[in-house]
Amino acid sequence: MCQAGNVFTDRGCQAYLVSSAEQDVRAPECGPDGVSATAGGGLAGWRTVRRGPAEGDGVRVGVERRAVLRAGLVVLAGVGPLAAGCTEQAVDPGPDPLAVLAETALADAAEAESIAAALPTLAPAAGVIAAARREHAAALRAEVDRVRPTGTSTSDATSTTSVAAPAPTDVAVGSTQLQIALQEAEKAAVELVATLPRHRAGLVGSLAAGCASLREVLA
Amino acid sequence: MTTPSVPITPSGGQPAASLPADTEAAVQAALGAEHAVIWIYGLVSAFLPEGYDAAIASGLDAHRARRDGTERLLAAAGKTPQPAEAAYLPPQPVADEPSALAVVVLAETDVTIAWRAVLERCDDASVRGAALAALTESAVRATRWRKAAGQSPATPALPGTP
Repeated sequence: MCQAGNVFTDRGCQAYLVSSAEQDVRAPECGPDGVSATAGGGLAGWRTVRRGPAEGDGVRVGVERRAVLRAGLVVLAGVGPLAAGCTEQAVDPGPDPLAVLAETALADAAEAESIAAALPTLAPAAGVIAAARREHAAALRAEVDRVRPTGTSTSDATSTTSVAAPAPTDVAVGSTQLQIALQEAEKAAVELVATLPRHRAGLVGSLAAGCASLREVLA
Repeated sequence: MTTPSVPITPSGGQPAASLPADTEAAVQAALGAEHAVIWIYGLVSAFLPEGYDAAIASGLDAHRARRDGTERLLAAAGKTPQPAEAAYLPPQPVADEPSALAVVVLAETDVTIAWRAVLERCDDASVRGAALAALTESAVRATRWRKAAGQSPATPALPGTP
């Protein structure tokens, strides 16, 4: 279904077609994999539309352009229902699972920062954890925004989730708190990997490995 | 007297799964990284003091197990596992403890990159599971070696990112 987007992006069609099509077509499951896998169908469709006016002899540039534009509209009309089906399917499962991971990562970063500030002994490790979890959040957010560019969702998650409980005053408690947060983040990532499209599986797999490694930083 | 009703396959009872070409290439590359890291562990053992013996032994065990598992996976899919090279050339000469630690970190990091690449090139759940486990184990081991070498941060945020 998502291949419709390809008709425009691969052929470098007129700018207005690209921009008007993008909103309809870009849906969560239209990742790079989907695009490349279905490229053939989209391109074939485009070619047949274009062949009509181009076959006649002495076709002027103006006619060609108009024909292309008209063809574009025809394709757009066809894209509408396709794209609608695509979005409906994607909206059903609810929020992007990576957005959920991103929010947890931000909350964990805030927690690690407050622990680093309160417990100098833990500060080096907690600082590394905080920086890494912020990087996780940014990488996940970038992927979420790539798929859903409008960004209507949770871009101000920082303010809501960083209202953390007061930092512990005991090193053992602080360390355990960080360990548990990392363990839970790793578990959530591992559970997700099996279900994701390929490129996301790589990112989330690295995230899981990163959380496991951060526990080793703390050890 | 009795004839086995289940055909015998290289994976030991499991039916041979097919591997798409891109998945196979990535798995072969990961196997290559496993061969290399095993060779590197052998090399550095000559330059690292006794205190590292346990870490070297456990790293070697883990990577040999992963290598064998990967070879079985390929064989079960009817593919020929890529053999190890006779020797591997470290990017920097290994002459003492710091250079030995640096090259182990590098070899483990290469393994994480190779297995993440498998994650990005497979759909099969069991291959994904193996790739994730291998990526995570190598990332954790690389972190330990970086700590031993005094490197900070001891881990990248997203291990396996090329």
